[in-house]
Amino acid sequence: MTTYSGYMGKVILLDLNTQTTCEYPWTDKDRELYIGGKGMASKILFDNLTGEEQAFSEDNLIVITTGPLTGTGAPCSNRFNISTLSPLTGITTSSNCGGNFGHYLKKAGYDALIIKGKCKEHTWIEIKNDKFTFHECGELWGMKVTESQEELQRIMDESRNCRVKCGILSIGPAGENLVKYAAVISGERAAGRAGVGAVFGSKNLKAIVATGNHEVPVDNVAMNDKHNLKWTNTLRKHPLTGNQLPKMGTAGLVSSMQVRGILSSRNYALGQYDDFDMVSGETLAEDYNIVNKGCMSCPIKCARTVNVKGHNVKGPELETLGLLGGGIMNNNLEKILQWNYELDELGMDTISASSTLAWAMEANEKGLWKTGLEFGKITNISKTFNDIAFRRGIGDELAEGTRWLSKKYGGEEFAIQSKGLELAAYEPRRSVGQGLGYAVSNRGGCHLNGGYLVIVENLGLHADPQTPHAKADFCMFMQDLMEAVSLGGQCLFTSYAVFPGFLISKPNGIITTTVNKVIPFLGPVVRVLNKFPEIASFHLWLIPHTKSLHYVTGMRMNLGKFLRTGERSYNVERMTNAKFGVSAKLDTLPKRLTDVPQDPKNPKTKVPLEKMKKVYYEARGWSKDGLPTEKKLKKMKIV
Amino acid sequence: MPFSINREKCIGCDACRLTCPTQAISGLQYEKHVIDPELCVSCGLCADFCENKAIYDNRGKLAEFCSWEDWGIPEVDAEICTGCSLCVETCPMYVLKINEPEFHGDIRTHAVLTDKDLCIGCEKCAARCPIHAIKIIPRV
Repeated sequence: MTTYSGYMGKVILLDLNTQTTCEYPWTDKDRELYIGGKGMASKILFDNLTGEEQAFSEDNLIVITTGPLTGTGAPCSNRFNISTLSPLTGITTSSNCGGNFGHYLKKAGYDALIIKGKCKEHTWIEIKNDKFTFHECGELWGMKVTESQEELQRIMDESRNCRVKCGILSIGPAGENLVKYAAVISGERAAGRAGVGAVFGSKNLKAIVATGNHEVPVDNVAMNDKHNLKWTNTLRKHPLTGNQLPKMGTAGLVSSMQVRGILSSRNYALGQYDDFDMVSGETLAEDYNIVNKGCMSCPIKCARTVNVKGHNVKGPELETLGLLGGGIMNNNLEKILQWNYELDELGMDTISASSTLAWAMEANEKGLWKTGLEFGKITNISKTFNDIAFRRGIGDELAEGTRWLSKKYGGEEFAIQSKGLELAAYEPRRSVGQGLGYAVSNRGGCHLNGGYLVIVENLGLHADPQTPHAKADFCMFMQDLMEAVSLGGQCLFTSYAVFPGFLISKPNGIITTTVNKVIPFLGPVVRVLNKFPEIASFHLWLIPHTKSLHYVTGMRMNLGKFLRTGERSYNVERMTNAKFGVSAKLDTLPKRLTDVPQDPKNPKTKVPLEKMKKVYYEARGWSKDGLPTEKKLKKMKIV
Repeated sequence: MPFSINREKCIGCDACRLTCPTQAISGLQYEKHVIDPELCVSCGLCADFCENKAIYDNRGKLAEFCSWEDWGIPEVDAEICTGCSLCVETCPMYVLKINEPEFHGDIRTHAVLTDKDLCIGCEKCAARCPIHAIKIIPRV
């Protein structure tokens, strides 16, 4: 039970070995410190993992958490988080998904679900209010994602003799066959990164279906409704969330990335792709997009629906376009749409799959591993993806990811991964702050967990992308802010509005130019805010999340507290990872990005990682080994 | 608020189950019937058919039928609606959906009522809308 609104007040521990459930102790104190979502999951993993576990061992936990804002109608608040020990990286991972499962998990009466043990048979779980039913899979095991979700919906409807509204979470063949970067899919949206799907597969768990009739309580309904309307209108007026994302989706960034030289091409050897306009967001919007789609309760609607062979299916995101376009030197957009659909159906992370493919192409070119995969050759790619999902032929090895492959065959300098997780499509050599983010990010080479500084350096503002000045402090600030935003259950795109609209819509205006010039000198100012967030004991109109949390939960909240919560969540995840051997030594980037300049004539176009890392650890108050000190942990009330 | 069936009065005639528009009532003939509170939208149609007056509302009063003409229908203000689809997920009759305009550069997504004859006027959509973009208007 809880005194705060916005929560259902129950966290359930599900033991697959005995097929029993019990309540997990999660107090109001924990709610104040970690809010929900990823922070809550990190804390649960921190308390329960010892460092001895393996991703596929029975004692690994899957923690599915929702935020207090989920189901309250706050904009973009329908996201849930899955955290577990990743088979790809060997450390903890968190994967965020916009499907409707989180909403229905709360309707069933739970804030979070912790899953441990392993089913003896292939199983799917039905949750209806307090009732947990374990069903044997039968023919469901082996089905592709959409087919399995339709079948589950049919079973639910048949059992109740009417159409049942429910949230479904399921894995595809890739997860069943333990592909190291398999995804978990809810509706059309995926919790894709770092192989959470494979952990489901290793536990013989095909799917979870949740339904129920609880309502999410809101503390101050009138103020909350007013605030939501105002916030929604702000998002719709902002040039990024109200214009670019609805018009072109994330794919719209391809063109700006090309201009700024950060569109990864040819397995990150280049930062520009000559045929970029054939795979850009504009081409996708004009020629293929049928309708905008998006997550529940989202006013932005950045997802696309495209037509592939007569079916209306989900369109690709920027990462997929970049990595399956320039990344493998392919200019055929129609093929990308088809592969994106196939990868979703097989239940695989498109970023890691395409990055592994690009590595294999380069290894083949250099004669390290002869596979027949070549840059620009697109005839065998569809087959390769299927081989990966079913672990056939070369697919069996490709399913292990680039770190494993490069250890076996050599070529580690061009294995584009950090801590085992493949990087996203943003080339960091012309966005060094983003490079720092990739290296220090908790879950490995992730653009979002790394602070997404590319928006300050290239895509939103244009602060000098080559200078390391102030990048470490901004990196920490953005990481903590984005972490805090996701704790409430909200989409990171809502944090775009932190940059006032006029800075984005007038990139050459006097104010914008001045801001861009000043940013590299703002390090000390941001450092003070990072160190003493308590000084910001107010709500800031650019970050409406704090007010929303206050109105929904009834918690005392302000900007400083909000940032501190983000920092705490980030640190507790780092501490869990430390149990699995993470330290400064693992915060690395491949040599291609740190030692080889992107432009041979400009030696500055590489990531000065070691220099920035040192400042970053200082800014975070961590030791030289890159770990939070005892004093820091006590200050943050983690121990 | 959902209705419930008084077990002592119910004779299992099955009339309510057959008439319920949201299929919220279950039970075999000559056995006691129950109403699923999750699905019940309190339209009172079952109360109208129940010969034994066995159906009550949540305050313990005898349930009353609200005539079909009196059921309101939702009107979505397309200018305000953001297409967040919370109402679509809430609608028990599946008569709300998000519009699917053909894409031409700039589009606005919003909820639309697909079939007003199937709408049972439960007003759940209007209550659920976080930004009050849905008004209930008279059906006729």
